[in-house]
Amino acid sequence: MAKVYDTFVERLSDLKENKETELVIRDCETYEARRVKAVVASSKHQLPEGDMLWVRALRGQKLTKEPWLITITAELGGIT
Amino acid sequence: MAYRDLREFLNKLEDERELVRVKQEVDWNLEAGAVIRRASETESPAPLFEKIKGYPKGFRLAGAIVATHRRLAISLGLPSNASFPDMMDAFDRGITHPIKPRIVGTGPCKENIIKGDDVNLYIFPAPMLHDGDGGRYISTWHFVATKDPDTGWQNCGMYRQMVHNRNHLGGLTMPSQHMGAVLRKNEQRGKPTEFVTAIGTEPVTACVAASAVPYGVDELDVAGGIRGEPLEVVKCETVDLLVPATTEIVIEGYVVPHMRVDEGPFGEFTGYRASPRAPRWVYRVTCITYRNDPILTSSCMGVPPSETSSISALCKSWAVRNTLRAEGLPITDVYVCGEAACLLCIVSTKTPYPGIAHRIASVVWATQGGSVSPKVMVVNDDIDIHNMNEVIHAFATKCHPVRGTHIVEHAAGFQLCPYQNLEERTWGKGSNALYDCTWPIDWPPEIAVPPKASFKDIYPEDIQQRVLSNWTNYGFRNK
Repeated sequence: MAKVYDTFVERLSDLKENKETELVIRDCETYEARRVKAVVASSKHQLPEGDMLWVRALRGQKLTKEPWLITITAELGGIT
Repeated sequence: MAYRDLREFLNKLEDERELVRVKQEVDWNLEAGAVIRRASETESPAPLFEKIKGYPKGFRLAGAIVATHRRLAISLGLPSNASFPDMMDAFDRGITHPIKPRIVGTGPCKENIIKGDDVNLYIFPAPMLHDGDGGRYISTWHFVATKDPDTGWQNCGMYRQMVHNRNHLGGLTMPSQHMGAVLRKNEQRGKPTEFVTAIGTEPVTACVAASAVPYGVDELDVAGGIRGEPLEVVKCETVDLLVPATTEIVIEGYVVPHMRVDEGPFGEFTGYRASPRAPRWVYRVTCITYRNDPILTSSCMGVPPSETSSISALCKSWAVRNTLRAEGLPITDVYVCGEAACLLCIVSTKTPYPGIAHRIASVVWATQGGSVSPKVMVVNDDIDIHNMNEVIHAFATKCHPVRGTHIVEHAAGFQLCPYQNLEERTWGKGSNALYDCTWPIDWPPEIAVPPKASFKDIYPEDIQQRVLSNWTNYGFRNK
């Protein structure tokens, strides 16, 4: 079953699709944040094996009606 | 009557039908927050969740425990129908007759002790309160204590804390707040700041921590004064600070200097999520102690009613009233308006000379409690400022749109103010407004001041008495 993550960005355009990028994401089971390298995409056909990624604005509202997809390529550790 | 601990207070709330024990399993992830929020908005009893999804039996969550005036009055040891001024007087007693805490060797808060690598904040059911919050907020009804490095004064304040991971918390502390000053002092010296977070104290301590006690005054002494007896406190395990011995959950550690990590956003007391996720202070946890079957207390902030419209409104009103009185101003009442998320301060006054509304507003904005009330409304002393019908009527009928409205630009603002633009919020820039709803004293009363057409103003005394004494005879119910 796909895992569910979320991330906060100022603007949706801050997320670069289909390109490895560094992100801080939260695992929505615990809400613990961590830094990762990942590839993200806005549609399932671009990243069919990806987990779910909700993209939120800095004030918390979801920026898309459907979640994006994410594949984590490297763990960079915790945020503290 | 002073409560020994949170549990005794919750039992009292239950006796007064002000608490519901929720036996059904509830999810810490949004469901509990939604219940607390709805209970606050409908002024329902406070929920005590006894079964939290994924948590052992006994780990409980209590929400909105003083979110109404009735519960606030009970928390202060007063009758549930105590008036707002009565509650302010209780705070006055605490300040004017403080009682120092009594240090005891140990207490229930030491029943479980976790230190070092064993520290794990996830053992508690910290709720995800609002959808889109920056994390699970473990500290929303509590106090955080630190010490001023120069004077040794222990400050206890209510500063929100979010769980980052097993042993780190993040939090917002504004520069104008007391702990903000302490943190900056230590950081400038390259030193960490020891802290302790006390969650689930007996009720008065948290209420005082949420108030605007002056810098240098120990909130634990004030709490003792309100209680009429000293708090029993214990020393922490790893930091040089004191907490009430019956506290449910105690989190010790230090604030890391020169370290900021994204924290927030959070559904705030204004009823909005106005401040963004941003780099903020980081607390590193060195020790957790807690009672058996701990109760985590929580406030799910949002639109009024909430703890803002009860305890914050009370504390700010109390602080502003005292300052206005100390200035010798002929005020009759002060209400930092809970219905307005405390962004509006209403003052009723006699008007012995022109311009008194300006003096009052200037003093309000200069106080700690009033500095976050950018709107001040001054009304004549015939207005009951706790009756919003009377207040709105006075505003609409007595405040001249031009002559009665006075704007102050370039005032100090605060980051959570929803109507300010992003630049103003970022830099804490603000502006203030005074709405003078008093009749100008240079208006000849018989010519310029219109008579008020209310029952108590426009009928002769004998007619009023006749109507009142015959009220039920007319067929009405007594009111």
